[in-house]
Amino acid sequence: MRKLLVVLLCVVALSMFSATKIRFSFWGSPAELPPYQEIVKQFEAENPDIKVEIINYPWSTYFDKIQAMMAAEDAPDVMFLHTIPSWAAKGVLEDLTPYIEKSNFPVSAYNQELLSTFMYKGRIYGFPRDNDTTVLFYNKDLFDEAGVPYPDYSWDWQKFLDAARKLTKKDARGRVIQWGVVLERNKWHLWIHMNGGRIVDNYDSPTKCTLNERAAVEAIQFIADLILNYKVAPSIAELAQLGSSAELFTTGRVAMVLTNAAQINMFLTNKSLRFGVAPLPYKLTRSNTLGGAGFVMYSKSKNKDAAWKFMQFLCGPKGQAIFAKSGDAVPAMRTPETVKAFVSNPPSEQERLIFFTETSFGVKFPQIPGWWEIFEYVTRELDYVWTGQKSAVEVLEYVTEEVNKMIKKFGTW
Amino acid sequence: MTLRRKETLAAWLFLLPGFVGFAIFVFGAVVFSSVLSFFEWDMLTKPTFVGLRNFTKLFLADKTFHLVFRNTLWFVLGTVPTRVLLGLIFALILVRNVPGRTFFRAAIFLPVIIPTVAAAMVWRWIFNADFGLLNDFLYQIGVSNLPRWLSDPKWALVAIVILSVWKDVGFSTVMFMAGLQSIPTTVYEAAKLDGANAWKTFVHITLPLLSPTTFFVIVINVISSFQVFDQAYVLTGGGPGNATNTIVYYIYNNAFQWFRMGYAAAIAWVLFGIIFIATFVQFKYQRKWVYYE
Repeated sequence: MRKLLVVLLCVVALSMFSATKIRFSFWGSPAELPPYQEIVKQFEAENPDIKVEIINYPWSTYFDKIQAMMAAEDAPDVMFLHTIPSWAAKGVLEDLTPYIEKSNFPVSAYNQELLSTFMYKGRIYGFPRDNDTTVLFYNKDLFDEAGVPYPDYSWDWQKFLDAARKLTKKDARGRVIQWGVVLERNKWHLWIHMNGGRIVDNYDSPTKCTLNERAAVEAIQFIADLILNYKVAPSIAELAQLGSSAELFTTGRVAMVLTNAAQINMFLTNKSLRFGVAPLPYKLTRSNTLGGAGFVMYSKSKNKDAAWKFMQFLCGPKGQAIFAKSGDAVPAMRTPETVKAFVSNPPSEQERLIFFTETSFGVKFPQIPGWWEIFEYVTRELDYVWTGQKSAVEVLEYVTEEVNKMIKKFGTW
Repeated sequence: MTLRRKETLAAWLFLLPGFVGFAIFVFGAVVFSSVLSFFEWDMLTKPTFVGLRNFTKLFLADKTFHLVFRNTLWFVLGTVPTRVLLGLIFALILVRNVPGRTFFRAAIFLPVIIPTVAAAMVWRWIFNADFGLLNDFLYQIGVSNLPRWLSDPKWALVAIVILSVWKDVGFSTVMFMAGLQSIPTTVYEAAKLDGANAWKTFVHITLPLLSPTTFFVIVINVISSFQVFDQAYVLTGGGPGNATNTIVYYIYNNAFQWFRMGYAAAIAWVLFGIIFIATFVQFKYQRKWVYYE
């Protein structure tokens, strides 16, 4: 008996030493965990010599923790990050270009425009997990009730507005009890792009801000009008008190929402909700959001080979198919497997395909250092437009001036 | 070893854990942040020495800092007098044997021990412009132009003040109650014999004898009000726009959102300076109105 125990202990100890351990970090709520766990499980089964330790923090504290670990030179080997070039510029990310060449990684299957946001000085530093594609979700019952035809490719802003007005209901005191549409605070750029406007002059190497040009001002004013004039959308500043846009839609208090695939799982929690997926309305052009977070390797990782092996699985067709299968991530790598995995989810295959069409209209964010600070600044100032304190022209005029200063201050990569 | 030495050693050993903790997490951090305030550091690349540039930027160029400073000052001016006054009134009532005294004492003190985050979640509903309790009440009593509270830049800070007063008035109340109870009854008896009415007794006896408590309550409230953060963080995220952005919130954003550690440290030291001066001035002028027996 004792001998057996000793042997057993030796085996355990041996296997512990022989397996290479890598650490893999990402943010997300417990609900988002399953695909990650599935990937790690399948990878470990294929590679018994590598153990993957999962490090999961909520979004709100993720970056402090990662940054602190980096300061201590002990960050996870593979990490989920966004705004890749800004990290690459600091030298904390491993240049993956040589690895890709050596192992023939199918990098061409990725959405190339999206992949370009993972590049710094022409080198690839990571791979997107998915694309943050926005679609128009609508509540079929509320549409039927109001006698409004379902949205389709013919919808421009006017049709969208008319529908929203018919779908808004008020009580005797004039309070809105059902909104036509709910708008998210950080999607203002989408409307500018739909109206043919631009945030900056050149998205790959911006030199000046163009938010004070007519197309941008019109778009911002249109959003403000939806809230303040037509009163078909709840005040963006009030959203926090009402619940998230997805919560409002799930509980049937709003007829339409412009958001991404990640919210579908929440919609499905309301069994009686009949919802549809439609393309975004257009104005001058069709446009969509392009961007998303992805996976990178730590430049000071002690197990780069094992980390790359894991990344090939995680970011390759198999990993991408697992994320796609969960139904809440539009795969960034398009292969027959990933597309099939994504579309065989509710509400229907045909509606799921709209995500791919819409992704092709995606416009990425300007690729400059400090973009998120600029974005946050503009988003904050726009509150004064949504609350009717100031007009779109007024705010965008001084915002443009300020953003120009910020572009100059942050410089280029 | 003599007993005395043994005891000294034991004392040092008992103090050691606390002292080490203090040395590393308080004193060390303070020294580190003061050095940091002269550097630019993003936690990833090497810190660069920038001299006084963080401070000159703060005072001369950073409009957002000026704005958050003004917001914080308004917050202090809104909360401190209200908390002190309401605390005193509640204490004066509750120190007597009024019916339901125990219940009201608990009701007033309860918010102090509720975590701010939980309280703010509830107040979010209360402040809801269309269906919130507060506006519903105002509507019932005939107010026609209902404020949109958290989503109106003009009212959002007022909302934060209301929440903060509700949250911490219990602390002032308890302090004042203790202060009131420590005033000897003999003084009141003497005043009564001399024929002083209730108002005169209050102004010439209660207030002066309570002044050390009042002083303490004001100082503590000023210090804590300057550090307002979590209410705004949960309730409004500093918005709409920058309407409820405060100094500590700005430190948090600089340090942990934009990773400008040096700049955040500089703001922290300026905040320390502000609080130090505010407290120093109060101590200096206390001689004019605080009476110690």
